[in-house]
Amino acid sequence: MSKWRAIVWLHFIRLWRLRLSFLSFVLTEVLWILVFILGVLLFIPQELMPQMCKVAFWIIVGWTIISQCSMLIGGWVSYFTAIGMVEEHLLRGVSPFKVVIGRLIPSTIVLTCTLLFMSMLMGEMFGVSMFMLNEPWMLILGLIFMAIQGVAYGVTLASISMRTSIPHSFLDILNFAVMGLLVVPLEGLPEALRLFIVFIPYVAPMQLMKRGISSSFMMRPELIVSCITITSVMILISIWQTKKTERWIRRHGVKGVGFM
Amino acid sequence: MGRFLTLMKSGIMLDLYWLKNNRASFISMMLWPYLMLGLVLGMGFIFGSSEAFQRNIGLKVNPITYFVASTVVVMACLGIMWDVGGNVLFLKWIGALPYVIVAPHRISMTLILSYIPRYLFLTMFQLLEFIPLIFLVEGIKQGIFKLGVMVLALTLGMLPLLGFSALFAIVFMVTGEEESNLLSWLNPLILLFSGAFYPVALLPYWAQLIAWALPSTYTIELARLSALMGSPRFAQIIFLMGILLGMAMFYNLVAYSFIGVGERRALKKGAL
Repeated sequence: MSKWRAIVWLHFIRLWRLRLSFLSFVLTEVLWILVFILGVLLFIPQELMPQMCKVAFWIIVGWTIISQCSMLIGGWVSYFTAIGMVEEHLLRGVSPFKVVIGRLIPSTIVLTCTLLFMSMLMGEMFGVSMFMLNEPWMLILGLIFMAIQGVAYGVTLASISMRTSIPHSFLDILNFAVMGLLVVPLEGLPEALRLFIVFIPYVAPMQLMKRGISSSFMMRPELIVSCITITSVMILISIWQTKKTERWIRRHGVKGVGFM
Repeated sequence: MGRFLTLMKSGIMLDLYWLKNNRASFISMMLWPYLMLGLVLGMGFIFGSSEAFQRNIGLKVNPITYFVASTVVVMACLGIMWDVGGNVLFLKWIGALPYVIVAPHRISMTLILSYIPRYLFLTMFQLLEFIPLIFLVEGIKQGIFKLGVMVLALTLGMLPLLGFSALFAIVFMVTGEEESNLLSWLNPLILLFSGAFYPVALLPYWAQLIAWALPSTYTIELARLSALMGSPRFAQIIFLMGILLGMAMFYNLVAYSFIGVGERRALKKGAL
């Protein structure tokens, strides 16, 4: 328990001491979202703007959760390894992956600030509240599953980075690819294809979020089944992968993460 | 002249070895423009239409060519700002900045001349990636003309941006301890004001005033002329070329005058 307390303390202290960096993270994230979202909104007819603006916003929110988990958790490993902290923690009997999981603290705070700032900005720009929802609890459920899947993915990436030395900037590409899946409208797909797509990570939580925004998006029991199954599988994979990497590091030593 | 060639040669050698040793990063760099384009176009076409796009823009433009031009220029601008402006910070972090400063060449020259080969190689490579898409959308004859406009924008647009980015290098040189990179949030802010994906004409008036002072705005405008249906007017191209050349003179002169001051202050303060 004292190990966990130390990890939590470490991340809060870092958050406070590097507060300008974290503010910079929030601002950077908001600006990038704005650059992309403004481009997308150019395609939307003025009369549909309030509704579509909200959907586009929450889809980008979903993607931000995934990319933040990869960047703030998976990407941090290169820094953690470069300053020699992996060996230090192993020698003291603390799993470096537990320290990496602690990055959940700054990433949650950065993400919450980003979303609040972004929703205020979008609300002012387009005169529509991002929080006027169809089923808020459904959106929250989708967000929770999305975040858990994102963290499991981030931790898995962190352990893969340590073994393969592939930097997170390359792994981040997967997030852009996932983005394509998040925007696919499941409603118009044939049954078999829809069942297949629903069981791809992040798709079902995103659909729950969309349903939370508007009733025009479908809700099926398989979405909940997929959320529970995929989340459990991703958590198990991340645990298995981290244990495997830790055993590998103890035998072969730490491999530096490539130049970014 | 020989000194300049030495710097450019060192830039080429550095990049060749970087590419050889960082293939994963190179592949990711090549994939990024398509991913950015895919994100905006994919979401745009799913939620809206090209007719609505033309109505909102107020011009008869092809959205695919419009966003290809925007993406290529955005990647180029980001590259210049990070690699010229941000390079000082990187050199500072790895402890190599004092060596670069005491080298016989002015640091501005080292930063700019060693970067030019990389810029030309990576930008043209990224443009080459889009050739099949442009030919598919515009046809071969129109496509060649439009690619020519984009090459012109990327080449001319580089000149003022080099000086503009060198100004950031000066800021990084004189500031002491760095907690985070100023460019990480300044870059998207500059792109937002430059009308990266959203035209400047649709921004609020105060934002337009800032936009007109940024060289990236004119580079993006010039590249985007290629998206107009039919052929863009030569007068518009010449006008934007003139502005870019004027800005190139202005920003490079300012950067050249101030970088010496920055170097002296950094040495005096021991801020390296």
